[in-house]
Amino acid sequence: MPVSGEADAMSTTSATTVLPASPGEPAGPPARERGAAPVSRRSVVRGIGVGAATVVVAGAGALSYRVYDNGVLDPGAGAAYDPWSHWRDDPSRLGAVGAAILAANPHNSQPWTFRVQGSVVDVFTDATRRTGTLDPLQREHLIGMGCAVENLVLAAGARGFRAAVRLLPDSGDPTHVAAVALTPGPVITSPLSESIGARHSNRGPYTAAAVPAPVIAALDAHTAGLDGVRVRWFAAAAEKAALGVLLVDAARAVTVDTRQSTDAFAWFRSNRDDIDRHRDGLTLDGQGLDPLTLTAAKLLPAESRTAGDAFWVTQTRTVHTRTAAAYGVITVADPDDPRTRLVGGRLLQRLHLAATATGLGLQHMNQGTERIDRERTLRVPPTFGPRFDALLAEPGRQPLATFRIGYPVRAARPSPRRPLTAVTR
Amino acid sequence: VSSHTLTRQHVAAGIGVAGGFLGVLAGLTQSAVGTRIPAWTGAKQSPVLLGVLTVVLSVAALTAALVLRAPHRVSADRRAAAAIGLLLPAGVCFSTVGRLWVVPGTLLLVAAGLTLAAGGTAQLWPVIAARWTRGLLSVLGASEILMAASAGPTVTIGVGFIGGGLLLVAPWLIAHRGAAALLLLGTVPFAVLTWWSLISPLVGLTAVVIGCVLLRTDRPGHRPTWTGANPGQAASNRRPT
Repeated sequence: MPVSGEADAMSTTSATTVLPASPGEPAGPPARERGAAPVSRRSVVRGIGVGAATVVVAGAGALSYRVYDNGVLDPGAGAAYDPWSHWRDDPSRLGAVGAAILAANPHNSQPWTFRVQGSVVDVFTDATRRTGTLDPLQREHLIGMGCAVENLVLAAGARGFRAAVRLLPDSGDPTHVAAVALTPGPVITSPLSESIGARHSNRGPYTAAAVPAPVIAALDAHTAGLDGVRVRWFAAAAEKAALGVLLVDAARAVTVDTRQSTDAFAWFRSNRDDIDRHRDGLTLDGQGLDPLTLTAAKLLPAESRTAGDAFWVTQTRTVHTRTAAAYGVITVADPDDPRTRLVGGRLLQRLHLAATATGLGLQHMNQGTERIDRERTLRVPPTFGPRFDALLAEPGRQPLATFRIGYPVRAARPSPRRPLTAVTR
Repeated sequence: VSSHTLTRQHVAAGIGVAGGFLGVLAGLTQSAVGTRIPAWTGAKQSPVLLGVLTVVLSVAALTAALVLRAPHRVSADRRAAAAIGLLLPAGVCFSTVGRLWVVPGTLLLVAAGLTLAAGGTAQLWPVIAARWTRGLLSVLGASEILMAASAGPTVTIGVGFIGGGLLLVAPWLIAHRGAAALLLLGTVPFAVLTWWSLISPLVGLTAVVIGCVLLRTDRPGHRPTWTGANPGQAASNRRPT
């Protein structure tokens, strides 16, 4: 700031010392004689201070906007997450559909539509919501539909409806995966039905605590009544490590395969606007990150596909496989059979709900089977299929879906969901 | 020239009143039916809260516009305050009510421009420079309110709104006893509640540092400087002793 030159020249304090001309300035009469006001050192220091403060405040303001825009201070809240809070509200059959849409499904693509007609709820696949080369044979697509059917049955029981499930009821319409007749019956609640709203895929670290054998046995008991599906558990250190290596290799192979990587990236919602607009897909909130890392990820610009891939492989190696207390692989005789996939999906949902009810975290890890199906469709020599079969060591059976379990370090966050109005016919 | 200036001021007032009024309507619409017309309201996470925020800011803009309706030329101080009062809501609300803000926002921006033009900008710079640091602190208060608008749970929202409000007014009450308390209440609770967000502690820390500088330089008995007090008085205080 310009100040009175005469006064400053007379000053004996260093704070008002007149600064000499800068080295680059052409020689000539002193600044005062040229008519320019001299600048005191104090003014310069103040100017720098105020300028720096302005820059810091502007930066803080811009980052505050990022905090606001990306919902950093309230992750997992808002209209996109409302279905998780309201799935109990409606006691009708349609209310049970509200629970079905909370089921596990591939990449949170929510590939379903429902039709409530009289006492029957018809469940259809939505071909527009496939995940492309990630799931070229629609294995995960149908497993997700089976998960939705299981939630529907459990939620119907809790509402006083007896459910009779017919899988693939219409041979002329492969998209019609189930017709669930709901007739009045006793109210049946269970730890599974009570856990529908709390079940989330937990991609964070798990503690070093092992899952006791009786707990695994209790989980295994949920195969009862589901024909043709069972679980191969990997709880011993050596076989766990071997499956972990396969899963890391598969994750790396998915990222190297540009088509698969691109199809996976298409389902990633990196900001709040995308989440609110689509209400589907994977989010930063669902990655199981610690609060500080999650905040930093939301404040920084969105990651590129390749950066996201690198992050996923690293997480698979350093968190998902390293902290898994045990793996479960649902095995079947014929993974291509649509009915088997649907039944396998029902089992997977039961296991996830049961794990939730007992305080366990569960993460779906299907990159191994994604690579198996991808290699089949590309007609290249299979690599992951034989490796997986060797690990299973169950002749005549093949992997359908894979997951890890353990006691989670931190709670999982919900994934966005499309509202009922968007998925009912 | 004086007549033209007054005319510009009154035109700015008229446009500002229209913009503020439409802004209030936009805020009420967001609160009432925001979820039903997401294409218009921006599909916001917290439409009710953002609607209320829009109404509050629009009322502030309306107040600023009404100041300009005075039958005489307003002072440079008031003109600067009115321009900021129009400009701030105009900018912020583009992110609170989606497309509903296009018309009121544009009107308020035009009104702010006319306000600045009514009487020239030369008089405004000393006024703005004299209050620049206080303004920075108020911007931090507004930032805290903005963060609180998308926060949760309700306690955090409340603490953020109250804290941000205190931070907004604290620099303008810096000469009063209790200004330091306002500053701390405006920053610490929200920063502690949301420490993991990184930004709210940064905002709080920045506010405390700037606030301490203001407290040191702008308290009664201290020689005022251009960062806080009347620039004319500051200049006279720079005479050698």
